Amino acid sequence: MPLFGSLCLILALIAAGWALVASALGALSRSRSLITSGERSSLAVTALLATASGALCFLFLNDRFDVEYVASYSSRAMPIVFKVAAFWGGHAGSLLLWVLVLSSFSAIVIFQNRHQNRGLIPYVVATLSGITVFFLVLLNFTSNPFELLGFTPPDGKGLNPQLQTPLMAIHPPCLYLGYVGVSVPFAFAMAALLSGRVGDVWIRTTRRWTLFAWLFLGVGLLLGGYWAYIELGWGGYWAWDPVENAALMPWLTATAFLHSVMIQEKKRMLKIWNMSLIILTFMLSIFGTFLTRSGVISSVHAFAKSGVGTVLAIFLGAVATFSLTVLVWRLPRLQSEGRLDSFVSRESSFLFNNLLLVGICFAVFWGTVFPVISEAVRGVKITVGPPFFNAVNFPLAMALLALTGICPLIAWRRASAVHLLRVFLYPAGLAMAAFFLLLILGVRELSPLVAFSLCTFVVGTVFYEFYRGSRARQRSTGESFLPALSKLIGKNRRRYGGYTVHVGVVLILLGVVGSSFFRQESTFALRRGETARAGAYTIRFQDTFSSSDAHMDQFEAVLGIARDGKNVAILKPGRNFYKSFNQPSTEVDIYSTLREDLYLILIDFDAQTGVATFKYYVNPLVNWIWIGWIVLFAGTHVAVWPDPRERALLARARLIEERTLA
Amino acid sequence: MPSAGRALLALFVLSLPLLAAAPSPVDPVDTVTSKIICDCGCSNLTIKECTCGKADKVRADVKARLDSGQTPGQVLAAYVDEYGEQILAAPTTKGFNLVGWIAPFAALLVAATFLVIVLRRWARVPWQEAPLVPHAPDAPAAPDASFLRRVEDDIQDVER
Repeated sequence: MPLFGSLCLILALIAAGWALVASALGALSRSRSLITSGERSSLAVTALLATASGALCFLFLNDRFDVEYVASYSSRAMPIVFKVAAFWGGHAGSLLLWVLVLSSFSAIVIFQNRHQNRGLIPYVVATLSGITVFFLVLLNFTSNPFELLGFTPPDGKGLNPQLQTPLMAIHPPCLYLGYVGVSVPFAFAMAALLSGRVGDVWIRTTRRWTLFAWLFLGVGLLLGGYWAYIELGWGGYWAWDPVENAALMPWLTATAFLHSVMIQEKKRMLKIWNMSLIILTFMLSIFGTFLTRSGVISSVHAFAKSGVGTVLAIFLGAVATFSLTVLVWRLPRLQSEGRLDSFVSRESSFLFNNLLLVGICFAVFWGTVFPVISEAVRGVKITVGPPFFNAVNFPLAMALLALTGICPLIAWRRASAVHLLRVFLYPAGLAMAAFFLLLILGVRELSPLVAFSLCTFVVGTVFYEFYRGSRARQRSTGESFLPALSKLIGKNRRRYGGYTVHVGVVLILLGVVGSSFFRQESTFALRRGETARAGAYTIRFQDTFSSSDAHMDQFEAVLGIARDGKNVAILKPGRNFYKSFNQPSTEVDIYSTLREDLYLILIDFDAQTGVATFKYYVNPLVNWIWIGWIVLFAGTHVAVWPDPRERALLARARLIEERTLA
Repeated sequence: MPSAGRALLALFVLSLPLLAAAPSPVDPVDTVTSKIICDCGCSNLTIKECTCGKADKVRADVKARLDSGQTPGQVLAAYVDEYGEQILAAPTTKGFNLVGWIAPFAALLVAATFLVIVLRRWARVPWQEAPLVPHAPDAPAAPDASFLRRVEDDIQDVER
């Protein structure tokens, strides 16, 4: 079976190589048979990689510890679901998953476009195959998951116990769907440049792919953050770790791209900028892989395979050189066709939004690589940690938040002063009221005051937009409010889906600001029967509970939680000791409400004195982060739902492109 | 502006001095530990936040040093002497490290200036509705054109 898996990988590499060559030659010579051959080879790659992945799953499920990868990441005692998840627990398997997702996306693209975009597709297949070839070379020659140990150990090492949670089982695949999803719009962008079809067809065709990649990158970030929050026991969800940053950066540039393409669609401007943004987003997604695997920057997530780092750096360089060369070559065709009507217009505000998103991305990038730069320049190692990122990004994020509120209020093309004043009055008034109210309630720090007021402002503008639109519909059609509202959304899913996403982002920021600025924390030691105060809560140490099996020793403290004299919860923070890893792990317990989380950790238990030491955090508003993601998720679904209007616009764009080319 | 709006604005301005009220006192141990990174390798956290055993020891050490009369600045300096600059969670604001702090804002400023110049230039040239399909004025109506018109109608239909 391991041999069979290796064979599939070699064959996949050959097939992908042929798909690249045939599609490229087919596109250049317009040979239909070559193009078809390229597409079929690409489909064969998908089948071969699916088979190889099936083989790897089989090896995991059958405890084949003669395979080095299985022995390193699985063990007999592991539940079946984690044996499957161990597939992507290490470097080689996650590369296989990566390339499997990539080739599956290629197959979907080929299937979706079997009757359309025929001028673009050979180039798209060639680009996607090129990326596939690169990852298959890595897989075959540096990190083969089917490599044999040469002997069969009695048991495997097993997956790190902290990773044995359902969240961690799905966090990497989600991120990969996002990272790899970016390849599709990138491939279409390259196809547009190479084929000279640089209108908005490639943008409209890939709009949902981009949203899909953006959404899954976001979901990956969310799951990672949520996992850190409930597993790692430091009460937070984001630590500006280089690999977290690596996933955040393409998400930021993809957000910018999702906004700026609207200007190209509406005004046929910013073609060069949009191309640059998608190239940048793709490169950042590869840079993320590079960071995780090169060991250049140390990180919790690092797989640290230094040989791979060099190859990835070369690939990054090659992608940059190739895409920029093609871009420069096509510059004459990428000139703007439209002009701005006014400096104060939604178009301008979108560009400032892009500026801030890319600015934040740069700040994150800069902070991530600055230790390397500093060491090269001064020869002194320094650390760029959370205080730097928080300080630099907070003002930028606030400016972006303000713009999120302002953008939708400014009319397309031209906004007059009277119009602006009229639409700003209510949301701005609401924001000031929020500021004043919070001040009365005792919030005295400027940063959270500004942040909360801006959050109010944005939510105010979004609701005002929904209200204005529905009222206008009501007046013209005579419908009552709710049907008018639902028709309004149905007729322009993209816009109102987008606004809903904005509300999601505001809720996330609300949670982030609340839990960062108003967090309370302390440690306390109790004997059984004693109580302690934690913020507004009274905590009573009631009992302990311990158990032991072949896998681990478990210890729990049982605590009664009361608020305002009422018992509200029983929390059981504990410590587990995983025998095969010789590693203790903290088991957090959380009493969670919309207002705040009471987050309890058992730090120590002295069996002789019976004294347990606990740490608590009260994290205000933290739940709104997760709720915000749900809203964002829902909003994205509204925006990607098939829309006849978008379809009609795509048909028109195709027609215009055919005519322009003819 | 309606009077309610004016009243709100007045309240807003009048409430600003409240911000000057003294912030709540910060534990000097936190001041120091939030500036030191924990290199335990489990996460990218400051000593204040990290939950590992090593962070516990450093916190105790910082507290002991502060109790013995050292100022937070002296404790930090002692740590830098002992472990090098990389023990600090963020770069200092001196020398080359300033580049680290300033570059993101400088880049943004340069880009913003460029953007303003470009936007002003774009806005100065009057915009004309570009024809959707470039065609000669007397070209015979191709079947494409009628299809295009139909698509335009469809779009207007769904927009209505």
